[in-house]
Amino acid sequence: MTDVATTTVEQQLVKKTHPVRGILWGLMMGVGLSIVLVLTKVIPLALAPMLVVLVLGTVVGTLWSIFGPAKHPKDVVDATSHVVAEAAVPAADTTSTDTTATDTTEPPPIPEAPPTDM
Amino acid sequence: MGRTLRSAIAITGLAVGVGLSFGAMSRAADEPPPAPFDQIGDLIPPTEPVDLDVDTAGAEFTEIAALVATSTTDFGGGSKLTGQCGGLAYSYGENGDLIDAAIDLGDDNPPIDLLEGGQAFTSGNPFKVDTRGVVAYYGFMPQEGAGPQNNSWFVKTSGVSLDSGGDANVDGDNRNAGTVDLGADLPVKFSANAKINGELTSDNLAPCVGEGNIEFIGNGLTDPVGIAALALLGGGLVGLLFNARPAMTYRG
Repeated sequence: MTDVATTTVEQQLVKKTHPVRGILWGLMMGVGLSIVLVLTKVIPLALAPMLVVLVLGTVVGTLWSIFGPAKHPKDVVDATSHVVAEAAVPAADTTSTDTTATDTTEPPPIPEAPPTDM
Repeated sequence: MGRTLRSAIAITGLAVGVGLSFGAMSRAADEPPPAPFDQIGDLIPPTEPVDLDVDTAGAEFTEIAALVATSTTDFGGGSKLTGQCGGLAYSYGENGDLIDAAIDLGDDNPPIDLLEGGQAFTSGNPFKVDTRGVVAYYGFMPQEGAGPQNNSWFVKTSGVSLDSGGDANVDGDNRNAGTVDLGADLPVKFSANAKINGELTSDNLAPCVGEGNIEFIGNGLTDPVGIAALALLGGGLVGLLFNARPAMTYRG
């Protein structure tokens, strides 16, 4: 049961990248870095070295956003059973939720019969 | 006089870094300068000159040039000023102390450092200017005779124009002197090393061409532009770490 459910979860997880965000944040980092390097006199105040640093920052940001280590959802590790249950539901029956609710609900207690005087 | 003055400033600025200056730094006086520069130091106003007029500056230039002419400076690459132009410049820090001085004799040799001797405006010995200080200058083109007529000039760094202009100069003015208060004129204070080049052409004289290195002295990263740069750098890093990192997510 667990093996089947885990396989179901792995198939559902996909890696989502943000290259546009990487370009924009990398550009911002590159601009800041190039000015810092000029002010600290590491590079001269000239167009070419400043552009090189700027482009480098943008490329690093883009590569990070595509190939960087991916964040994992917390519930995969912490609440496997919960995820398994959630993942298994649509696979079992995607048209009816009543069935699942019925299956997982405990039956009501049977009332005791009244005593008889015989 | 006004437009000729601008031309003279441009050329002198090339030779002496008048164009742009920043920061305050005391000269390291570990070793006494070689002769004759040990005597020249006494001729330079130790504190910011209130007013540098053409006649006074011209006389000062002649006196200093006579001493410098006796020196044996080894010239190399890194800076130059060719043509019939020359002059001198003194750079003062925010507190009025002299931080650098240089002269160009008007020959085809590069400018000379007046405080330590040797070639000035090189990458190893850039002309120091305080972005909160003052630069006093005296420039000529040529030393004797009519000045550049129908002239045009530019000053650039990395191909980007810093300033340019031109003048008919019908009076034939050939020299100028004055001060540039960078603390008042520059809206942004910063620290940087820059290479600057420029040229002045005219109808009646050979072109004056120069290039050299300037060290702008400011407060580094504690200047407002430095704080802004650090904010950009930090913001970019935080954005990359927390907003652009790939994430595993559920399909659909």
